[in-house]
Amino acid sequence: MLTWLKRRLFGYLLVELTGFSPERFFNMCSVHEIELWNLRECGHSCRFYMTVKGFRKIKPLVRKSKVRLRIMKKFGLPFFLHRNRKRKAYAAGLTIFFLLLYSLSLFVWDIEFEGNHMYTYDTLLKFCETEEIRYGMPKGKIDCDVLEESLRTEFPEITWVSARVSGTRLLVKIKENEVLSSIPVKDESPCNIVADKAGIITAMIVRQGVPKVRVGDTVEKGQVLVSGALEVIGDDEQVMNVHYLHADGDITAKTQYQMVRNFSPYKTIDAETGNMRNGYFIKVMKYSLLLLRPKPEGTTWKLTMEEEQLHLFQNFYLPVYIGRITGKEFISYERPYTEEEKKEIAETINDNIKINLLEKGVQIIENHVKIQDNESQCQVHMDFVTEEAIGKNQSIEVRMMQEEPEETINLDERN
Amino acid sequence: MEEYQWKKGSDGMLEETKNKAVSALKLPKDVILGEVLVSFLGRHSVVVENYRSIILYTDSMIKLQAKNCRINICGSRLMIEYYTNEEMKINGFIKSLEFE
Repeated sequence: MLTWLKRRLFGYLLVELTGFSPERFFNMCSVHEIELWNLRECGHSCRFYMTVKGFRKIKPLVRKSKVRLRIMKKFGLPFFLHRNRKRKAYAAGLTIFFLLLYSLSLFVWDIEFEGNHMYTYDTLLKFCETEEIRYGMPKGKIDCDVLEESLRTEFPEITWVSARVSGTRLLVKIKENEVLSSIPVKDESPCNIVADKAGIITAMIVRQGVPKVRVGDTVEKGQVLVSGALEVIGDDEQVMNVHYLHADGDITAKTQYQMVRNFSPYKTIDAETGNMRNGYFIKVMKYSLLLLRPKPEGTTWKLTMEEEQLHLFQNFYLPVYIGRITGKEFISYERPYTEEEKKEIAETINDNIKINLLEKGVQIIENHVKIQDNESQCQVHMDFVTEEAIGKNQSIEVRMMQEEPEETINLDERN
Repeated sequence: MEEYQWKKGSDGMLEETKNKAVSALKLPKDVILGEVLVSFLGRHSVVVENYRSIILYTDSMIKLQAKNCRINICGSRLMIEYYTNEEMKINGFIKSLEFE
């Protein structure tokens, strides 16, 4: 392999030898260490290959052995260049290609994040942009250590970062903290528990505070369920002092939801006509080119595009995107929904609401769905009888807090 | 090569002693005594080592001079793939190899 490369690089010749004693010539060549190979006899002559360097040294040997040499063919790079010396544009093109490839390899054309679950790609990319790291910047300006550190400080949930530049890609590997990094501080500020929905109380567990309602009571929205103000009543049945607590308890109540959703009684159908239109999209850095036949007048099309970034090998990404556009012609028209379809739609609407309620921790006891048909609109009426936790913390107002010392002062004055 | 030249001019007795010494020490004879070493690879190629010069080269016969013998290689479409001072590789359809 190495000899082959060397021969190609410096050039070699196919030589035809005629004369009385080729053997003498061969022996002299071997003594002078001139390389000959693939010797072959063809009738009266003998053909062999030799290097250009050897051919230059051969003259005295030729004279001595009285043979005649004739060059049949020339191989290798020097002869190739000489043959193509007039093709300047070709050479220029080749040089420009390699220069372009080299200059493109100096920039970052792809940024990849790996292992991010909590933070989205866009969040991280935006942060990188504020750190002056963006798509298309010179590779040499990226300081991976600084980037790693700033990522760790900016996003506390990221516990480990590894950034490296590979080819024209910036690869950032991230490990996120899987457990909570901070323990939630228990709220101890004084507060009441008030109802955030109207309903009938079904169960009550009070851990701290004074219950103001009982199981079976009907409560209104905003009514105090558990009071955080603990009154100390003296012997004269007067309020001597008020301790303020953080009321805590679980209160569940039977509640009702009534919802109405509207939908159009006409269904829009996009029917494909089967006509297709294909095109290409090329984006080089900021410039893009769209290759697509113009659409005929009065037709509607759905266009989809698959975009792909060009890359040489695995990690040499280029700033060239190629997209394939597929267009399908369609005609849209409207028709009224059938009864079954209406029912189906009402079902899906109802199911969605159900899922939402269940996610909020609401238990559904009863569920009724009714469809009302108007000319212009369909209405879905949904009734839910549910059971849910209705307690909501409401901090005791500062005004009340201020009243306390005033009262005590008054008492003091009286005493 | 120089050693060889010197041996040629020297006594036959010395040659014999050297031969014995090489046998006793189990040294490779092709290296020490400059004996010809022929290795075949099937019937299409042969490598001859420690030859001295080419006497005849034709399509059907190659005659080589070795230290104390001549080698005739007969066949057809014989071709020297490469040759250096010590070694020669011949390709082709080989019929026979004779010593003279």
